[in-house]
Amino acid sequence: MKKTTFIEAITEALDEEMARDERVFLIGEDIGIYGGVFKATKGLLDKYGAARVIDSPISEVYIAGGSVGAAMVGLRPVPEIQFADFITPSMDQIIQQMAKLRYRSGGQWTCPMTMRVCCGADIGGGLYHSQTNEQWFFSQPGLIVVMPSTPYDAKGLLKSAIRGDDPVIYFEHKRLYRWIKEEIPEDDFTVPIGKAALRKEGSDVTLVAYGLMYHRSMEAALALEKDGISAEVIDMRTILPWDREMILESVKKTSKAVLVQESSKTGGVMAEISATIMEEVFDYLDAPVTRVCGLDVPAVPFAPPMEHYFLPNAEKISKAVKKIIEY
Amino acid sequence: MEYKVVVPPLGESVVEGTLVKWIKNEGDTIKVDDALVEVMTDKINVEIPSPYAGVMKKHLVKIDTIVEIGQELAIMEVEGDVTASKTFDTSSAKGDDKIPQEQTAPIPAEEFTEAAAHHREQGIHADEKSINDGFKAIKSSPVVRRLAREHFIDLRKVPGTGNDGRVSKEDVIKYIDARHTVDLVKPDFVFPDLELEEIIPVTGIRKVISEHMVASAFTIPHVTTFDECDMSRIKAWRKKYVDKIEKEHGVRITYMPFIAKAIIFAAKEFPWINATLEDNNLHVKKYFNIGIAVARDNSLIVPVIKHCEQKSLLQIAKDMREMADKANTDKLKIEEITGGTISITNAGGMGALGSTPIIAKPQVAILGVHKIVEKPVVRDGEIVIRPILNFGLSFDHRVVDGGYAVQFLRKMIEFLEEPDSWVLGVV
Amino acid sequence: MPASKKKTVKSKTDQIGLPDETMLGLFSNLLKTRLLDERFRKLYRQGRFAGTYFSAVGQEATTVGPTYGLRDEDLIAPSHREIGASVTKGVPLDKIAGQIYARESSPDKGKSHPCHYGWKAKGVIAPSSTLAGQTVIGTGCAMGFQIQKRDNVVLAFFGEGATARGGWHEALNYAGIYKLPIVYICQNNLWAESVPASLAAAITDFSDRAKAYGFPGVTIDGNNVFTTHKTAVEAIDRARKGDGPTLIECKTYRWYGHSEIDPADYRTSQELEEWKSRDPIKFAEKTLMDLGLLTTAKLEALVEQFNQEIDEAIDAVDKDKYADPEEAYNDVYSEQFPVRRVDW
Repeated sequence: MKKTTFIEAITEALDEEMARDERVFLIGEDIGIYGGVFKATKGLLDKYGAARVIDSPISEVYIAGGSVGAAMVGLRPVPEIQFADFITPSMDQIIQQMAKLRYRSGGQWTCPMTMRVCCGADIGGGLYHSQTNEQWFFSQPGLIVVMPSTPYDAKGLLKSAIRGDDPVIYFEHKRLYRWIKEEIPEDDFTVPIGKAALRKEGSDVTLVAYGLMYHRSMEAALALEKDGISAEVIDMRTILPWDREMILESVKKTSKAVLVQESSKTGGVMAEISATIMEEVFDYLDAPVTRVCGLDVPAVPFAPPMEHYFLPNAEKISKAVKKIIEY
Repeated sequence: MEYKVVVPPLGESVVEGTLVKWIKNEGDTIKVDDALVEVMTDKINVEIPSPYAGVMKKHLVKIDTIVEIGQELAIMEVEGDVTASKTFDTSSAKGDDKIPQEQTAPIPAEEFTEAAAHHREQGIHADEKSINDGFKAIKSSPVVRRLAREHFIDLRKVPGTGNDGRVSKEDVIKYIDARHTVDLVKPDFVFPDLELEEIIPVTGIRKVISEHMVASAFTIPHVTTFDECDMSRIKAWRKKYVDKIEKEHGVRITYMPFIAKAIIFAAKEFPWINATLEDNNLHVKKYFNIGIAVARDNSLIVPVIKHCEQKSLLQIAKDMREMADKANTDKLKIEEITGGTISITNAGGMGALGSTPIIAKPQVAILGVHKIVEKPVVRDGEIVIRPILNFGLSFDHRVVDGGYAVQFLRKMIEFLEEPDSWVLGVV
Repeated sequence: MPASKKKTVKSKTDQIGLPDETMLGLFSNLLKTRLLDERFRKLYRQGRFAGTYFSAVGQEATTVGPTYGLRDEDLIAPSHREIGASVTKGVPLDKIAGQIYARESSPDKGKSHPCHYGWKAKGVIAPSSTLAGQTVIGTGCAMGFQIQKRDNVVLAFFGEGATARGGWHEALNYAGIYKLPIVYICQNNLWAESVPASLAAAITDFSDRAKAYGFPGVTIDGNNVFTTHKTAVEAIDRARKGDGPTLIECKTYRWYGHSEIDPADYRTSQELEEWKSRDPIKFAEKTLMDLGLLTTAKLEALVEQFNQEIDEAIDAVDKDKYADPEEAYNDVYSEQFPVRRVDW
């Protein structure tokens, strides 16, 4: 089997879903003629035409709200937000329409759409091309939030999202686009939403992460192995609703948890995971639940040393693990 | 019918207003939609209209009084039915039972069993106060506290290897493991009953059966039932601990003490097995004096291990060793070979795979123990090799029915097949 | 659409040019809307339902006229003062009353808000409170119709105040580029809650905004139901044919406060009385009587009939209970993702 990059997996999923279901259409900035600034939609305009691959004006409010409307009348929109940094104008539509439509109409209207959001740092993007802001959406019930870390999951989760009946925010980490490659099956497959992946079994500590931070956590786990520390690594894959069972069972087993997140620490996804561990499995803990997160500063700074200082990495994660192992 | 005029909702943040004017006085006739009363808030003045025609019967509130949303202001007498306003009635389709309930304690402490009580007496298990004092004295995490509660541990007794001597989860697990072997020297099962036997007259149908049985056989009508037992777990346990125990306590634990214990546990549910039949009375024993058949050069003698229900596995093993030694050296006293309530005979030592042992009168049952052999058996649809022991239980059919004996034997085997709960004590 | 985009605020019966049946239908819906609206105001004053109520009395012709004659599959993208659109679109009165009472039988089972009428079977989108919110998603619905090659249209309603929002402009800009099948109806009632239209925009006629997006904009008398109907029908036909959107500004006035707890003391009584003298219901009533299409007896019969329908609807919801509070857990996601329940 050939090796597929993360971004190729996304393109394949879009292509296959558009071929499979004529209700699926794409809308976003520079996605048509240009094929997307990261080339995720390359070739799709030629194949499916301008009615299904729509180059929108610079209108994030409309890209979001218009997609909600199209979903309401029976289509399966897959809008693209070129950079997560630019999602803010869409917030009103995402929070007030996309997330609440089903609820406020008593289930009469639904919103089956998948908003692809290109996110993440470690690419030298500076303040406005590096953000991960999944925590804003994580605190909005009614939305599904996913962030894959492998080409297999990228493809399988995107297909599940497009086929499902709920509004999905699909975060794709830019650093993974061409870095992560793997052999993936040619046959049609999906990855279930709401299920985490146990990437490595271990007995001493549980590492929980998603997106790029899953890879950083795995690097740390492999390094720790050499020091005789057996880390279990969980890749959340779906952030909302998150896989409570897998994470809580793992912590019950290891009694220790280090939670890793790229975005700022305060009010992040891992704050919720940590609180839930405390509420649900307190009596199994043998050390304080520890978070390794991005800094509590407005966004990822540009100068390379500062960017690296901002971001969690394998070394920082290993250090946190050792601290609670010795606790 | 009476209609009660209430203060309507007056805006999202408004909780009260002032009654500024009664538009309809007591006794006034009222048409539908007539304004009744004026209420003022910092947002708006509101005239409350009447949904019904009728007569103003009584004002309940005076002018310039502060009134709350939902408060009753007046009573009107109206004709016909009144559809009471449900705005302030928050009852729903399913009812009002959504009152927060206090949650139960999250820590399921280990059941306070008889064994646990005994362990506490022996000082192996800490009492409540010591457990709590341990928490105060030793820095410990939630999981350590949970384990300490569940296993009755005084953390001051556990060597801590964490920072500043903190007791870690690993430390506690090591401590519990070590304690298992300690548990073996202590009795782990005591019947709470004070009376030592219960006398049940053999009358009625049982008497008829008895006479019938006597008539049909010589004295005791023997019946033997066979059943197989998977000894994997006991075998594994022995393999792990037998050398250690022998080293520490000078006695090699055989399978027999386990079988003796299993008889005791099973007899809790099937008490007539542990009994004697004397003068048409069945004496159901609440204690276990177990006869162990010992083969001598040309004869067989059955020394009795008294009160096995109060003894640990280790003690039973020691007693058996001692009785066998005495039997072989002719040192058994008369009281050491009488008073049995049930017997075990081990023909397995000589290689027997099955036998129908003879009951030691006036006892009701005898258990034949045979050689453990590796046999193919089916587990979860797969053929696997397991160490199998074939038991033969002879019983007195006058007092014990076949089904009863078969169930007793099965129960006993279940205890032997799943020994963790009792052999390993607390885990 | 006439070449000069603006019509003056006037109407004469001889200029109407509508079939008798249509004129009677328009009047009936106006009357029913008015009776229902005034009833809800009273019920609120009597404490019969919670929350608040946004009356549309005075501006009924802006919703009834454009909505009259639409197909079930055509959509209404409402705000919060479009009771007339729901009535005219044929939403059952007990569903409208159910929404007001927030009871178990309400279309949303009591989750949203009293004035958020939404009923999919008749193509009325359940609204949010974010103004111009439904203008954006309504435009998306029109985009959907275009992609699906359906000849359905969307009517998006909003006040003049909402046209100051960014999303509104993004939506109209997009609709202009792609010639979407949508008609934008601005109910300019001169007041955005307490802020006068002069503080919402530096233009007098809000239809001027359409120029920027490359499609026609017209300003009409919003209290003349025949005008609102005829203008909308023309725009709807254009939209159906694929000729793109139209912005119709209806000059009108709401008689009461923004909500029932707003005394509306920011306006002068003179202004109010002037507009009350141009009551859209009285105007239509007089027009029909002048044309001999309506008699006092017929009017009384209609009032009685509608009041009876309203009584029945109110009676039904009055007897209904609130939904089980655990209904709060429903309609968050599809059945695939049940919400985790709290053990209170």
